[in-house]
Amino acid sequence: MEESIQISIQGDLSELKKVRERLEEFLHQCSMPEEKVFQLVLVVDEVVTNTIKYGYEKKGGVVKVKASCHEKMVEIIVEDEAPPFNPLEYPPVDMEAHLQKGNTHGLGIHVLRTYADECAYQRLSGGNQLIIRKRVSS
Amino acid sequence: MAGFQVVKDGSVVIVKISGEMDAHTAPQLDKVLKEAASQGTKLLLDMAQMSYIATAALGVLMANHNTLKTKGGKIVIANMQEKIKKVFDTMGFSKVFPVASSIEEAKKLL
Repeated sequence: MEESIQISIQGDLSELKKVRERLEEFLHQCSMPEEKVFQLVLVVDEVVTNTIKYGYEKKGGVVKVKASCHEKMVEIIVEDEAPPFNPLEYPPVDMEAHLQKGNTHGLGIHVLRTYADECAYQRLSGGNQLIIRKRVSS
Repeated sequence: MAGFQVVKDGSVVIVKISGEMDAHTAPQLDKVLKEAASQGTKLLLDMAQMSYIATAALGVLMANHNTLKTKGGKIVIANMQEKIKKVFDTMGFSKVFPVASSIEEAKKLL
């Protein structure tokens, strides 16, 4: 069993599927229940999507996803070389009120807050690093 | 691989969606829904074969819902897979979009 993997993409939305498939395969090896795998894959998909769309403004750029399996926790580190962006600075939204107004921005960050058990952001020299942790079992 | 099939059934336009709806495929979904809405304002989305949804696609659903609402139209959803339904519930979308367990049930909601 692999204890960690690294997936690197060039920052095109067409690569999202590859990230999801590789990550899903790895998370199954970590004995994570199917529902949690789906949630964590969605979180990473949203984070990488935000980097490609807003960080790199769809002009491309390296995005690295590192995943590691621990006894009780899976840790995902997403790194890019985009301008500073800390999703955790955005205040949580009341999704029901948000949707009643027809708003759809900030959905990806809501997914991150909802499905990740722990999150931490660091600005590295020349890039962003987001650490996401999720418990393997409930 | 995303796939779409649009069928007119009386006053209802049925859109069968298959595959994964992410930020890459969401623009295709948007195009198909806009074309479907040009055929009628009652849209029924059959999601039996849709295996994934990211928020980019949720945003597309909401934008089309908002446009149709101003025209007196509506979007209802049928046959949603359980894992997708949970995302819908978590994001509050189940309060905006009526969800039915079959096409026949969904038609009654239009």
